[in-house]
Amino acid sequence: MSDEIVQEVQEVDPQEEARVEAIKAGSWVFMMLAILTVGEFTTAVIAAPWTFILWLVAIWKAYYVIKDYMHIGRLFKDEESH
Amino acid sequence: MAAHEVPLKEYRAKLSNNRLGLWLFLLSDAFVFAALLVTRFVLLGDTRPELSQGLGLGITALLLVSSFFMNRAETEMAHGNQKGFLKAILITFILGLIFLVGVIGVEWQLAKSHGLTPDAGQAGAIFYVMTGFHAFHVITGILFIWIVYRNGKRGVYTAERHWGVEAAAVYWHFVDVAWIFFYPALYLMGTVIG
Repeated sequence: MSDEIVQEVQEVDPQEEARVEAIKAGSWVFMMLAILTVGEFTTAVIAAPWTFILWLVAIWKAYYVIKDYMHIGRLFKDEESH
Repeated sequence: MAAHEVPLKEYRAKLSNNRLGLWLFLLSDAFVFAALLVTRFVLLGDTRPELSQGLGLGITALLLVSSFFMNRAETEMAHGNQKGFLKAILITFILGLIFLVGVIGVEWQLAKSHGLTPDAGQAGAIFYVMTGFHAFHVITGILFIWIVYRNGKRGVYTAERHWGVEAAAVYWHFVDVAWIFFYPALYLMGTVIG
């Protein structure tokens, strides 16, 4: 019985595994964006004149979206890949 | 010739050109967004219009969540999960609509009630131009997403051929990036005009 379970675990569909990994990566980026957004809001409420920090946070957030959600890297590949 | 009739090798070769074309368009569009951003600082400097920071945070959160679901939709399609794709893209569509209502239906009305109208000086002018220009992109993005959703329901896309989904996702994320800069510029940076 336990051997069957072990065998089932070992036979994970690679396509499904890749899908789960991609979803995890998207979720991680979302978490980072949420944390940074709350951070910039808090910074602005506590210390409004710190414009420089707000710019840095905005650039950081944009970097995540452009790299991981817009997949700018695909532009430099010859064919479709995910 | 429909996309599904084109040989896969040819389809993939065209994909590179499609991507380059879309990114060039977005780059040119980004210059307009950047010009508006610069205009805001030239006109208002270290001050900002009196807006609800809580509402600003709320609509920003909505757009971020919609970006997450758009990414999810693309991922599901890329791995052949049609049901997951339809669900995620429909959520993106709904969140986009709520964002639009939040900006035009709530934020604009609130601003007007506080005396911030388009003809109320530089602050009013730049606020409505920036949010209006962005809202126009949200409207086109929502339309794009709706078309992709309808196509998805008809089974137009597959794991190997879904350029329409990818293009809609990249466009929607671009709208998100524009707001990432507009949000602090309008709601957080500087002191409220006295």
